[in-house]
Amino acid sequence: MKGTKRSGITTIVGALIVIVVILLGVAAYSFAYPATKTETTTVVSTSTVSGTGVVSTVVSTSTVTATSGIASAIGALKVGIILPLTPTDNSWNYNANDAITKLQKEFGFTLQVAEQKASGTDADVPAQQWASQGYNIVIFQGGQYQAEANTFAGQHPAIMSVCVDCTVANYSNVYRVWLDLSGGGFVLGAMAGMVSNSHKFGLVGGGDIPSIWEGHEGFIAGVTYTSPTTPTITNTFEAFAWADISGAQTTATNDYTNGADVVFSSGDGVDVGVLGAALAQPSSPQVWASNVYTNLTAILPADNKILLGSMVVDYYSPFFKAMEQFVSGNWHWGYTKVDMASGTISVQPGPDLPAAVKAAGLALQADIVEGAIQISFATQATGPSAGAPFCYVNPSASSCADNTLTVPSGGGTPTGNMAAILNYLPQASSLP
Amino acid sequence: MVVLAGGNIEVALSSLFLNPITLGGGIQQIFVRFVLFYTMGIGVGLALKAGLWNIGAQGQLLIGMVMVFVVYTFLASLPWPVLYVAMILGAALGGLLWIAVPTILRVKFGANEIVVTILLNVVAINFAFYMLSGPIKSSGTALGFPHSVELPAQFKIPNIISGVPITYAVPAAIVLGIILYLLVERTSFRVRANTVGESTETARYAGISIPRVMTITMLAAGALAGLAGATYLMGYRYELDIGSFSTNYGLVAIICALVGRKHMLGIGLASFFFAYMTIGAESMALSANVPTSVVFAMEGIMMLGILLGTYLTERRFAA
Amino acid sequence: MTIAVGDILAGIFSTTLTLSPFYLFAGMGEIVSEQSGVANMGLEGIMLMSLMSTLIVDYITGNPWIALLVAVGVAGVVGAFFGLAAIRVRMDQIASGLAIYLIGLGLSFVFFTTAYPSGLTPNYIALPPILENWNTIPYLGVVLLKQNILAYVSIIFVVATAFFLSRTSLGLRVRAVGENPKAADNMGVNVNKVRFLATLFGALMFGISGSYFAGNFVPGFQFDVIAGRGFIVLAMIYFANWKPYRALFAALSFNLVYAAQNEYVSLSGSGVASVSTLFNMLPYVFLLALIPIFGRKARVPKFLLKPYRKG
Repeated sequence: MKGTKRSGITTIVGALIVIVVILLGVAAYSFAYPATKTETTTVVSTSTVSGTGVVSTVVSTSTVTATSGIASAIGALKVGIILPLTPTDNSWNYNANDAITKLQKEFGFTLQVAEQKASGTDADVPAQQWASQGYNIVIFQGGQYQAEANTFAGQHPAIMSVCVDCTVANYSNVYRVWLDLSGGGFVLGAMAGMVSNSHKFGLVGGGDIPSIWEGHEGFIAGVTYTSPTTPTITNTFEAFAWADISGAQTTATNDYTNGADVVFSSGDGVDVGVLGAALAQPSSPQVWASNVYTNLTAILPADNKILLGSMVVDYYSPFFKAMEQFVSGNWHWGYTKVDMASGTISVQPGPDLPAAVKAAGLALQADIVEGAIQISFATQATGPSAGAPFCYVNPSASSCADNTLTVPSGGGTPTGNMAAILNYLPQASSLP
Repeated sequence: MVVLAGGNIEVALSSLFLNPITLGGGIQQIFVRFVLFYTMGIGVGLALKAGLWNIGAQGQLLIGMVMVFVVYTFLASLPWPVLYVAMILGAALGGLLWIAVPTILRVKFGANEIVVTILLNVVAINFAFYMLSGPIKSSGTALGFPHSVELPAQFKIPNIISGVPITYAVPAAIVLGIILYLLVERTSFRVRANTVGESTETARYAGISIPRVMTITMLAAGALAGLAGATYLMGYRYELDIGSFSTNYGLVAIICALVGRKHMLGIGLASFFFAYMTIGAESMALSANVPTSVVFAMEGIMMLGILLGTYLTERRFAA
Repeated sequence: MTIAVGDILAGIFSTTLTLSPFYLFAGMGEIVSEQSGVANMGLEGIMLMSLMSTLIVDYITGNPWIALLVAVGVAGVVGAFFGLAAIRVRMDQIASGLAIYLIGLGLSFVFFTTAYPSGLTPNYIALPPILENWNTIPYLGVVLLKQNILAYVSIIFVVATAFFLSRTSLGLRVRAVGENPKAADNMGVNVNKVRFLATLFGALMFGISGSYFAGNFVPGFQFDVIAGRGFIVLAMIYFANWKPYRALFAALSFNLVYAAQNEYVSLSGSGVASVSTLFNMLPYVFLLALIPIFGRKARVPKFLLKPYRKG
């Protein structure tokens, strides 16, 4: 029987060994891979503003103008970003990380990335740390941080709480990056409706949250818009498994085996799985898959034939806009919308689509950008259910049944029809 | 290059060792984790004394957390003090029920508890998701991301000294540890448990009721793990969301029990050590731009190192 | 929604045969290891290291076979390390297994992000399916020919392991070492060496498992991507009573239940996420339900988990 004293000694000896091992390990690691320090590069881009993202096969590369005053002010900032997963996911987290690190290299501000914070409470830990270190901007990359972003904003009024894919702002220092995927979904759906042979469509989504939901709704609307016959649609929301690539791949494979020839995917790692399923299908009959946010060069061989199209989301511009507004002082109750109409979301048709389909899709996109088409979820315009909410996913859900919207004066959560909430764009003047 | 690397080591090490104390929220984090690891750890240690492995600590923790809100939601009509106690007891009960199945299967069928508890861990996650998106979901939440209601102030475990973020859960856990220590080391239960752990034949010969010892230790371990869930939710998190599900606290608690050599004080030291180091490691990951997963590797290395250290020292003493 | 029953069944069987080999390779490895008395709980750590190596080498060389070889080698190294701890130093097997798991979990991801810090990875080239135009053969094509060769290699391994353990002298030595090491020692068998070899074999099998997993998803190496599946293998071989053919049955039936509930959830298509979590439990509950059937007669290798000291 070991006495207390002995177990104490052995623990201490063991702990000493451990500490030595850790020191050696960290030393070896830092020698091999020095952490990226903030660069003290001076201002760069003097090119003119181009608001529409230039899309290539990677994430859109926008260029922004910054006068030297603003640029150096941005360079002095301390920015932290909180990611739900890791930047290696080739989608949501990758996009955000890619955008913010590009900005960091350009402007030289201090940046720390906190990854794998699964929920608001986990996000609170690095956020509080940054607050005690004098950080200026904290970016909460995901709607799951909505409550935490608001709480944190209340505790630290001088820090800008950027909340991506959030709908609620309770304090003036919450800066919302409002995501609207419906336009992109619509364009992809329209192309899908034109190109499908079996008229069966599958949708795989990461979770029943607004941005994903509206992407799905948009896609279904697009399919209905162009499909010559009544389409058969299978809609699956994976249970909170935004990163469940393997599960998404299985679901998409099921969809293809069940006769669908287009599968739309809308959430993070789910895209990766769906594309993988499409790639694994044989070359005939032709199948298609779409994706959102995905880092395409990693996922698809250059000669693939399955890509319907990609929704490319540009975070570079909204992040820059947030920083710019912060340093110029008029950012309270601020927001920026990431959607097709503003150009921060665009659809890139797949290389193998028939030219006519591509042209039609791009034409629809141009219409949305010009405002000729507006995606709204309020009511159906035509058909037997004219006037009823345009809600495919769960028509009996209460969020679709009524068409009311209540916005409390003095800020707070809008309540009512989810569709109506998504259409709601807060006007700065209507809030205190 | 040397200066750069030197600077990095300094940043990394200072954040590893100092940040938990210096940066905002660190102290609270340390004690929250300490309570978590210790409460679960003494349960695992207890079961280990009887030779039983409770690998299901994580699952019992989750069920305990779910039960807190189940009680809160469904027994809401009880008066406040009763409800408060009921929530804590409910959590312990949840953990106990969740370990009951492996216990029965082990005692009655001889089924290895390691395997059953591993399977139940996965089932627990799914069950917790289901409960969170259904029965205990809060309406009017962040659309689509399910989480429970937030506990109002009277249901939070209060701080000992207001302003200092150390709750009553800390001394409560230590007291529990002491009670268990006394129970196990000073009473005849010690002999019984240890004998069962050493050799079942000896135990049977000595007339010790093996099923009883096994059942008691396992159920206690489960109850403790569930209880840890209550302290975590009511003392720190105040609401249940999916972030609680993707943790590995159960595994770390098992490590603490192993490293602490099943001794209640040793487990206490180990729990504090791991609580401190994991927070330091997370902070280091942030400052040194190292991915957070390095924390896991460090946990493993720490564990190996300590075990190796104890083993080597033991050999010297034993020889 | 009219979908042919044949298509549904074909989909289910296809998924089953795609997912099972992962469990089979690992299962055979763990069976051999545990028959010799060493339980390797760090298998998932070894799998993750192997998976990480597969991806990195595949990105660099573009050749999935070289990637597989390197990955198996890495797995062997990690497994040797575990063997050293558990057999030579005689540390507690479960403790050292869990430590290896944590180290593998953390290091695999650290190495991956160090190699690809921005997350931007080139294209992953997978092992080819057995027949390129598997879709031309109705039903049987998607079920049997869509997989890559490793799927069938896994079945061969099951047969080989069964044969090895029951017919070959080395296999009998492995079992003797696990049942009665003292007697084996007296007969001149180097107990620890046999154990080490068995553990190494197990680690190599885990390496193949981890590498095979890369074919199940398109890479974006998420943290903890294997998500506990390795630990399920431990449960499977337990219920299989350490018999390879029973393990085959366990793996196939587990994945069959998984595929069936997955198909059902997507077909019922209500978009209600929460209910699918209940269905997700089914495969695990199924395994648990096997206990009263198989668990009674479980004959644990007598000296499982007990280190052996000579003399």
